[in-house]
Amino acid sequence: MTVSKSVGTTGPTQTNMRFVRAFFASLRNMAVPAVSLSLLLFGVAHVVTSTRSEPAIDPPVTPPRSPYGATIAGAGVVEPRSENVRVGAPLSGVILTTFVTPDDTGKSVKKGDLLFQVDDRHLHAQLLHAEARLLVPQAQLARLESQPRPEEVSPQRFRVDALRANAVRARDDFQRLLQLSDSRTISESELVASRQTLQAADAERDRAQAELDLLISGAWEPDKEVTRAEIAQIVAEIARIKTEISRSTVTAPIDGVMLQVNVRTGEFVATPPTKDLIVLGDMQRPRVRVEIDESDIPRFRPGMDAAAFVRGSDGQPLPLRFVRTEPFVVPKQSLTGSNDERVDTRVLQVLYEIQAQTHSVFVGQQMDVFVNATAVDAVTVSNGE
Amino acid sequence: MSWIAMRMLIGDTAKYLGLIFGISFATLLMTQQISIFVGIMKRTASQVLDVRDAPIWVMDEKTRFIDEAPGIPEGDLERVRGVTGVDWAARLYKGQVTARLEGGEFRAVVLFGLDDATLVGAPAEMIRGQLSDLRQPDAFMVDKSGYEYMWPGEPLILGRVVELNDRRARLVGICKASAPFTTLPVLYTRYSIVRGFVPGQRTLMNYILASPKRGSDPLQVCVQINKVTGLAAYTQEQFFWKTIKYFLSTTGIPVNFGITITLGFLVGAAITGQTFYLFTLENLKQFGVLKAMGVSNSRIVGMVLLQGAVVGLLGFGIGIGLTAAFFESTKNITHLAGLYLVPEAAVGVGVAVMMIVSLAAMVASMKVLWLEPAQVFRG
Repeated sequence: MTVSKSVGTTGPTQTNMRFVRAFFASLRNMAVPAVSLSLLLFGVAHVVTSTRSEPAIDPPVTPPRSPYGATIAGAGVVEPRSENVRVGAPLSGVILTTFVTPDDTGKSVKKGDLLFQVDDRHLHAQLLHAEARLLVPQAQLARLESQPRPEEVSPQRFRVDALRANAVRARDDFQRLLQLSDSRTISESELVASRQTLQAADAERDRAQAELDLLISGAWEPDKEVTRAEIAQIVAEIARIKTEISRSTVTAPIDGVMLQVNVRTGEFVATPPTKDLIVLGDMQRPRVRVEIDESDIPRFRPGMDAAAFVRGSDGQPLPLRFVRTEPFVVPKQSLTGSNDERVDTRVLQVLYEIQAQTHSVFVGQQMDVFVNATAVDAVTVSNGE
Repeated sequence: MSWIAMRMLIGDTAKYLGLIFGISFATLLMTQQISIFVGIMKRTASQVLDVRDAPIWVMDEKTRFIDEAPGIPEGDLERVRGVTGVDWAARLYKGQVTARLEGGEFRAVVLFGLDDATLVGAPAEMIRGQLSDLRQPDAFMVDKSGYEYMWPGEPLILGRVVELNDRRARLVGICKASAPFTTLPVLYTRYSIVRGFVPGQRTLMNYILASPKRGSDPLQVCVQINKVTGLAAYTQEQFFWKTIKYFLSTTGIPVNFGITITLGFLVGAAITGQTFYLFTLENLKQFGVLKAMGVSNSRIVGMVLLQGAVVGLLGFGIGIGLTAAFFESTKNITHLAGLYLVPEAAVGVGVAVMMIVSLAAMVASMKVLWLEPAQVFRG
């Protein structure tokens, strides 16, 4: 400032010129260091801003954390206390009537409530047929039991009477001839003839009497038994058909909640069903089937505490109560559904009951379960030492 | 005396600037090459660094580097969760698949399958869309440079549909991710839908991301995981270096860059050394006069060293600034994004430059030391 002012106002003088030259010289001398320094500062600023390391952050959703010091972790699947009851249909056929619709899924049913009915019209036809067939032996039995027919008895009785009279007359004739034979008024042959006539008349009378007795005694009991057996047979058949008809109607086998309803009028139901028709479950206290890897089995003891986390929630763990251990170690259930799946490992299944009331637990849902293995690990460590 | 040394230095402008230029050039060459080398090496493990929410990586014990991990059984996730000292663990898939674009072109892409429930390993910064959109069916996200690689020159639009393994996938977000070594796009999706996106294989999960309990030593937890499950467990830093070491030992990159950096050093040293030597030689008369005036040898060596130090410092400053300017100007170019002047390079090259100038000064001052003061008056 001073320089330009002096140049502008008083004009160039010897002193001023030297001063200006010195200034420019120093400017030139300072230029390189100034450029260098500013570039260096720029470089330092670049390094400082670029090498800022990214700070660690928390995951978008807090992953489930074990609430215990030492833990066995396992994946669990929620199931009803009754396990999943896949209601089956005893008869195959087209569904005629449904008493529940897919909209009723989630509602409760009582044991014995009607669920759906498969086509039973052919059974009703068979029932009518059997019932009609029953009438024949029934009528036969009635006829047998109403014997003797009174209208038949009277002529026979009259016939007996007639033959009896006939026999009396023959006896009289013979007696008379017998007396006459002593007086030799008749020949021997006449007497013999009369005796034979008497014997024939007696036989005739006895036969008629016997026939009358047969008639009066009515139908023969074994005949009736045969007819009764026929009746019993057809009655049994009717009962069978009725049972079949009742089997065509499917009812709830337990008290529970309908977890799935897969029946619609007009659909065909095969036996065994090709899909889950209706799935029932007792949802009073849902359970978790926890799968423990076989390499963790040595650390597991029945009765250990456990806690479950609903996947995707930041919430508190749900406390679990030990129910039982399935003593059969099974291949790990893979949830991929791929058919070329091979088994990696086998798992011990342990059942736990969810203690808390929660709305976010559904059957079939996967949960992350942590089993408290603090006690066992402590023992193992102390033994190891 | 220092003042005289400075006057001598500045007096010959051409030599002065030549010396500074030589040093600047050497600095620029070396810092730039080292920085690019470090940056490219860092890119080989950039996916490791991008996972900022999990400090521990668990994988097959024989894994050599990040792109190679084979699948491990799904049940191992539960076993890792059961290891004492592990706070939480989540599954992760990382692999490479081919994506078919709308037009029928296809691109190899790096695919991440994040744990459905927690999205551990998700990108930290979104440019378009929300992270929660990843929960939509068939959803995937791509990093910004990956988007530009897949659809060059097109504006960032969400909702694009690509085919992965003949399955439809819909773009729901564009995120920020460090560029991978192979420059492939990085796709993020959920683990459960990765099964469809990856051609059938028996085991899918190849990494487990875990976090140590608060207060426990991550290294100790890694050892514990390895002991209990037989899987390899590394902290982020360990895995980062493991991957980098793999690439250092199996690729020609270090040799290539090593040659360039050495050449930078040699050229810088040659130019500077030669110029400085000549400069000192030309000033031999002045030094002789000084010597005749009774200035001690050590004083003269000190002067030469001071000249060297000043030249070195100025040249180094300019070189560093030019390197910084280079990286600042390429910051927004996708292919060079994420490269920057690393402080180690700056410091290392600083030391190298100081070595060059002190060497040159030493050699040059030899002449002065053996100089007979009377000699300058003879001619």
